[in-house]
Amino acid sequence: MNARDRHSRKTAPQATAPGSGAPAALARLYDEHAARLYAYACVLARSPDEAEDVVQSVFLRLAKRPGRMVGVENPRAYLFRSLRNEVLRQRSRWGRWRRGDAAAGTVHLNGYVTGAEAQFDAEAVERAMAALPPGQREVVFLKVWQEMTFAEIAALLDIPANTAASRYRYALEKLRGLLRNE
Amino acid sequence: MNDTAPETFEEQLRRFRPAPPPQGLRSRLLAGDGSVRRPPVRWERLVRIAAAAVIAAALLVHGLVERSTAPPPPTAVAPPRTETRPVELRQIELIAAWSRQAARTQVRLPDLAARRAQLEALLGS
Repeated sequence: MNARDRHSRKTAPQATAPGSGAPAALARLYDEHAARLYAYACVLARSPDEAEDVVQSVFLRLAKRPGRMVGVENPRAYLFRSLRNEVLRQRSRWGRWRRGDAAAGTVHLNGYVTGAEAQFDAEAVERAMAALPPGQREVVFLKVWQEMTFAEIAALLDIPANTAASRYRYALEKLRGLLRNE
Repeated sequence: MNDTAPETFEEQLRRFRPAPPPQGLRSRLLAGDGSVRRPPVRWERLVRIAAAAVIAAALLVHGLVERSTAPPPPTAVAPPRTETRPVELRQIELIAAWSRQAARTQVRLPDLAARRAQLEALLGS
């Protein structure tokens, strides 16, 4: 186990841990986490197609080595880490021929769900998110739409929690400004 | 750590939900029994790989052509002159040469003649 997995993995196997190798467990894992993973992949990848590929690659790796999930305390954190690693792996593989990789990706929103009257529309939020620097965009997505704590975000991104918090603050200020001008 | 950043704006953002994965992703990923299917190879990837291979081949051919048409490197290189005289003597000679040149160009320095005489006496010329 490397240091990166420490936040999400314990040595003692858990009774509820998926990954016994049974296809049903994998399907259950998919049903529980695919939506969140795909949303995160859209933020990291260049296009929805690439996001689909990355999600599929993560599950393929799990299917090849189902024992990976045994003992994982927080499957969501583990899967998010796997997905992020997969994106970085693909980016380093093809990055030399691609420009604008770092600027790629945004959150894809489904529209306004509940509550009071919307002050801005989903497309405006998507555009504003796309205008953020990648590091800030990722933190905002994880905090707002995944409802992660700064400690969880810091563990996922390998950054100090204070850095995650300051990125979030700066990003929200920028988002406010961008959406005000829409 | 303050996890409660500006709530009203954050809550506004949170009311939007991320778009769900496409309907076809699950069936493309998982077979009926739940096992994972291999992803299809995308044309985009194949084209990218082919383009990289063509560029690499072109660079290789270009390099080979350049190498075959380049002029041969010079073969006879004069060996560096080895200096056997002591350093002090060479310095003196150099100063003497400067002073002679100064005399030729009629540079009038107050002690140039004296220095020249000293140097010439030293060199025995």
